[in-house]
Amino acid sequence: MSKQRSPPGLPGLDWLNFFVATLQTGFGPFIAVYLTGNKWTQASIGLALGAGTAVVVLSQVPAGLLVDAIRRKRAAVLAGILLVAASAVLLAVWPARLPVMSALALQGFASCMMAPAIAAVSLALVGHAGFADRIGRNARFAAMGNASGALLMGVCGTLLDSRAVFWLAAMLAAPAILALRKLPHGKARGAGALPPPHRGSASALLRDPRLLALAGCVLLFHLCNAALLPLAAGALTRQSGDVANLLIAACLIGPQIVVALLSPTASAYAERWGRRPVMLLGFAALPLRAVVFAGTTSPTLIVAAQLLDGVSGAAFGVLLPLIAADLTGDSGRFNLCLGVAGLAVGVGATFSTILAGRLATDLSLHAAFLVLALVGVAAVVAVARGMPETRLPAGTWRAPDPGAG
Amino acid sequence: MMPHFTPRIAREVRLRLSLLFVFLLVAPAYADDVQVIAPGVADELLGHIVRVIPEGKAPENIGRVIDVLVDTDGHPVAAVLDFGGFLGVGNRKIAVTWSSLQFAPAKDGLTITLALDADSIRAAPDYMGPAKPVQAVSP
Repeated sequence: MSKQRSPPGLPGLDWLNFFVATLQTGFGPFIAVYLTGNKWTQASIGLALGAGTAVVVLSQVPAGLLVDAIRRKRAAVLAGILLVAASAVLLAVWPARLPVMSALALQGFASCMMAPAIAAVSLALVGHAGFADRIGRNARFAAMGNASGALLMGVCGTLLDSRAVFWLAAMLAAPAILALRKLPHGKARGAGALPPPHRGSASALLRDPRLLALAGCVLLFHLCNAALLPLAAGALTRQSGDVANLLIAACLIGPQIVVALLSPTASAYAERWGRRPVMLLGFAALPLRAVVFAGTTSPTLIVAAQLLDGVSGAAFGVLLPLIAADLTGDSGRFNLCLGVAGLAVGVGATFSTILAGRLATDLSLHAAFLVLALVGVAAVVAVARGMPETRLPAGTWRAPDPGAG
Repeated sequence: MMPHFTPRIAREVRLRLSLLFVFLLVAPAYADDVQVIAPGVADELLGHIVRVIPEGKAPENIGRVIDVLVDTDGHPVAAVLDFGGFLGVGNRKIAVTWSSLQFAPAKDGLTITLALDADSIRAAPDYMGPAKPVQAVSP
C-alpha cells in the first residue's frame, strides 16, 4: 500500500469515466428538442422533464444508501450503464408519454447511482492515500467525455436527426462496459472495497455539522450556477445571428476543456493546501461569471466568461468526492454522503432555473444575472464563514490500520 | 389462486368471445358525410419544421411550430415557433403573425416558409405565454 502516492495507471477507469460521461450528454435539455420534433406540446414536455428532475433529486439519497449497501460497486456501475442505455433505446423507439417518463426516471436514477459508484470503485482501487490523484484524473476524463459527447451528439443531431442521438447514446454503453471489465480486481483496499469492519451509523453522518455546511454551500453554488448558462445561451441566440449555435457549442464545450486541464491540478492543491482554499477559488469564479454576464452583451466576452465555469467545475468536481471521503473515512457511508451533496445540487439547480426564469420574464435578463451574482457571493461567503477544513492530517491513510473516521 | 371454472363462468366467457367475434366481423359504421383529405394535402402543424429562404440562398430550416394562437372565432392569428440553440441549450420561443407563414404542398405533406429574414426572427421578442401580450413578428 506504500506505492499509492503516484497515480496507478488505470486506463480502464479513465475510459470508464470518459464513456459514462459521453453516454449521458444526450439527456438533459436535448430531450426537449427531441420531443418537440415528435409533436409533443410544450406543457407535456415541461411535465416530463419536471418529473425526470424530481426523480433525480429524490433518488440521490436512496441511491447513495443503495450503493453503500451493495458490496460489489462494479455491479452498480454496470447496472447504471445498462439502465441508461435502455432508457436511450426506449426514447428512440417509443416517444410516447409513458415510455418517455419511464426512460427519464430510469436514467435519472441510474445517474444518481453511477456517479457515487464510480467514485467508490476508484476509492476501492487506489485507497484513500491515492484518492485525490485519482479523482483529479476521473474528473479530467469525465470532462473530456462531456466535451466529446456534446460535439458528437450536436453533429449527429444536426446531420442526421434527433432520434439518432439516442441510438448513439445507447451504442456508447458498449465501450463503457468494456472499460469497466478492464478494471483490475482487488488491487488495493479502501473504504467501499470491503464491507467496513464497523459500518458507521447513517444518522451520525447526517448530524455531522461539516456535512450540513457542505450541503449548504453546494446548494447556494447551484442556486447561482444552474441558470447562468441557459440564460446566457438565450441571449446569444438573440444577438449573434448565424454563429449563435457555434457560440453556444463553445459555451458547452469550452468549460469542459478547462475542467479537463485543471482537475488534476485542483485535486493536487486540495491535498497540498487543503480543501477550503480550492473551494473558495472555485466558488469565487461563480459570481464573477454572473457579473460579466450582467454587464455585457458581447458574444466574445460571454464565451470567455463561460470558461470560468470550467474553473468552478474543476474545483467542484474534485472536491465533492474528496470531502465525502474525508467525512466518511472507513465508515462505509461514502455514497450516502455524496447522495446528500447530490440532493443539495438538485434542489439548488431546480430553484435556480425557477428563480432566474421568473426574474428574466418579470424584470429583465440583467436583473436575473445580478440576483444570481448575489447568490454566488452568498455562496462564497458561506464557504468562507461556514465550511470547515476537512482534509485529514497527512499520513492518516498510510498506516495499515486507520483508526480515524 | 386459481378461480373455480364453473359452467356459469364458462358460459359467460363463451358469450363474450362470440360478441367480440361479431364486432370484429361487422365493418365500422362511418357517418355518410365525411370529407376525405388525400395524403399530402393536409399535415399536422405541431412540431412541423419552418424554413426561411435567405435572399439568393437555399432554404434553411429555422425552427419548429410549437403552438398556434387562434382568435375568439377560431381563426389562427399567430404561430409560436421554437428555434436556435445547441443540444437544447439556448432555444428561444417567438410568435410570428399567421400571415407571415406561407404554406405550399410538398411530396410528403406541406412546407412552411416564414416570410421574414433571419435577423428579424432572431431579434424578435420572446413569446411569454398567452397570459402576456403577444408580440408577434410580421414581415
